[in-house]
Amino acid sequence: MNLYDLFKKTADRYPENPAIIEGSRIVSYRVLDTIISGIAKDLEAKGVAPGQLIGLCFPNSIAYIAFTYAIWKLDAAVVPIDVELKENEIRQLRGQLPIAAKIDHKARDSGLITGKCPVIDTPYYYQTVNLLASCQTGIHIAFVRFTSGTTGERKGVVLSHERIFERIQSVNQVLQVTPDDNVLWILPMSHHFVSTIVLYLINGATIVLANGIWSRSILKTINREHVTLLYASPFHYSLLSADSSGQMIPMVRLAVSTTIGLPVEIHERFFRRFGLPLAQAYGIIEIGLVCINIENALKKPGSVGRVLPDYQIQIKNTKAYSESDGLQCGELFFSGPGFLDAYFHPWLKGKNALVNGWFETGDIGGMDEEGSLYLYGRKNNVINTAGIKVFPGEVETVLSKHPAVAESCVYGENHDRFGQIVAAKVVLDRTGERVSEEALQLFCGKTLAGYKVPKQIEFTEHIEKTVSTGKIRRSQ
Amino acid sequence: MQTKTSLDTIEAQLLDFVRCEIYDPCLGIEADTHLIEAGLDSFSLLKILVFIEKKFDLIIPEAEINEDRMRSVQHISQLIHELLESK
Repeated sequence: MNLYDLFKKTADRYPENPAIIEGSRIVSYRVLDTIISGIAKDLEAKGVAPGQLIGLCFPNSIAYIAFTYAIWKLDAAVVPIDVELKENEIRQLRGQLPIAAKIDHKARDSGLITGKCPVIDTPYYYQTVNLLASCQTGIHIAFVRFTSGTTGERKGVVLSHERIFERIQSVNQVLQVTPDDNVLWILPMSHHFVSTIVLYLINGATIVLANGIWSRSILKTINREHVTLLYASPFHYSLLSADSSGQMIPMVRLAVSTTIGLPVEIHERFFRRFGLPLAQAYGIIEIGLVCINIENALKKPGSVGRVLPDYQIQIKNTKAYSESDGLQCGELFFSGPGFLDAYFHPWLKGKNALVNGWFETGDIGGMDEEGSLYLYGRKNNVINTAGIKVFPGEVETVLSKHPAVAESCVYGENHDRFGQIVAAKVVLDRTGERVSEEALQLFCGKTLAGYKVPKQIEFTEHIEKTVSTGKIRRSQ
Repeated sequence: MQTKTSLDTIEAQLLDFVRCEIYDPCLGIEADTHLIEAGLDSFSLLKILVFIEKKFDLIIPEAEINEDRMRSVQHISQLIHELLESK
């Protein structure tokens, strides 16, 4: 199976349906397929071959989607590289994943629509890693999603074409996307693609790329393009709710909120403004989208909803957690289709990453008597800032390199707009120089992507060894 | 009590942040550069909002987060200044 072939089948069935709309450009399924094939030919001539990992560093665009499918057409795999990453972070990624070539938006203007072929960096090859070719892994890899982190963290979630297809089928039982749907796209494609873009394109829907970020222009786009489905973060819904233009969005049948927990207050404001409830979703890169609160969005805005029909849930180790809102909390485990094929670095087969077939999410939650799930925090200390994961250890390592810093502790501080922001406590070296918060931030910013730089730094005499910022306090 | 920050200071600090943290330094962002046309996305907007919150102890109300008020560093600085004055 190849996700490109599934796209092609849809393209043959609905050739004149718009696949992507970006401003005044409308690319039909037929034209998108032509673009993809052109790029694939060009990439093949440049040496892209089956089984290779190809880095894709591109902002949201028609090009992003076309590159991804072109890489798949050649049976190579995509490694999304966030455009925010700094050089040394990309170097770290390259040290852990044997990326054969990187397609970089900074290399030049892609010039796709004019028919010009895109240019990729001269392929740079690293020491051959035995896992490079898919025939050697036994997995037909489509995606490797890299998450940078501390030593010991497994990096690179490997997803095959087959697993992605399973996910999409499971999710679409609930979303029910059809060729009549027009989906507004606003989230970064480097972080969201599998259960979204691929799903829409297999089902013949139209992806409408948001032009700009201001609510007035987004509402105009929603109405001009008859958008039926919204998929965005609480922040976007919060901005839309504040719009005073009076424009309504009568065509929208479903608005899904994702990336971070949806504050009930934003849900209420959005509903008051547009008369449409927000359906909160719960997804994890390793296992896909496993809950969406469609049925009870209005009645239970704080819930991520029921578990999708194809998945099972276990709530374990409940003795370690207190009740929250009258619900017994515990650690969440899931089983079901479309789970990860492997972690890339160090290599670990998907089934070995599961505990007797169950995936440990690291999330803490509880379920009410109707089966609606509520999330309350994380078991470990990964920081979720606007849907992007930051590993405290990585930031602490950078801080510790500053000569004035003796010790540091990085944690997530709850934040209304971001979900969490990166915060740090720093103990200064008594014998060393004085340093300001700004200077330390600047220091971190030299080697870390902006979203990882601590937004607030507190200087302290002493650091407690466990910092808990979640609502749930684990018992010892 | 914190002393009021002048418009020039706000603009200088914000421009510095936007140049270093939001855009590629080689883009040469100026105070009157149209931020969306220069590629501002919603994640970058969030970063600017958090910067303002931490730097100036100011939460920009959602109703002010729009094209008219946040078109450029100049516009945002003016907005910050107004909000600080009315605090």
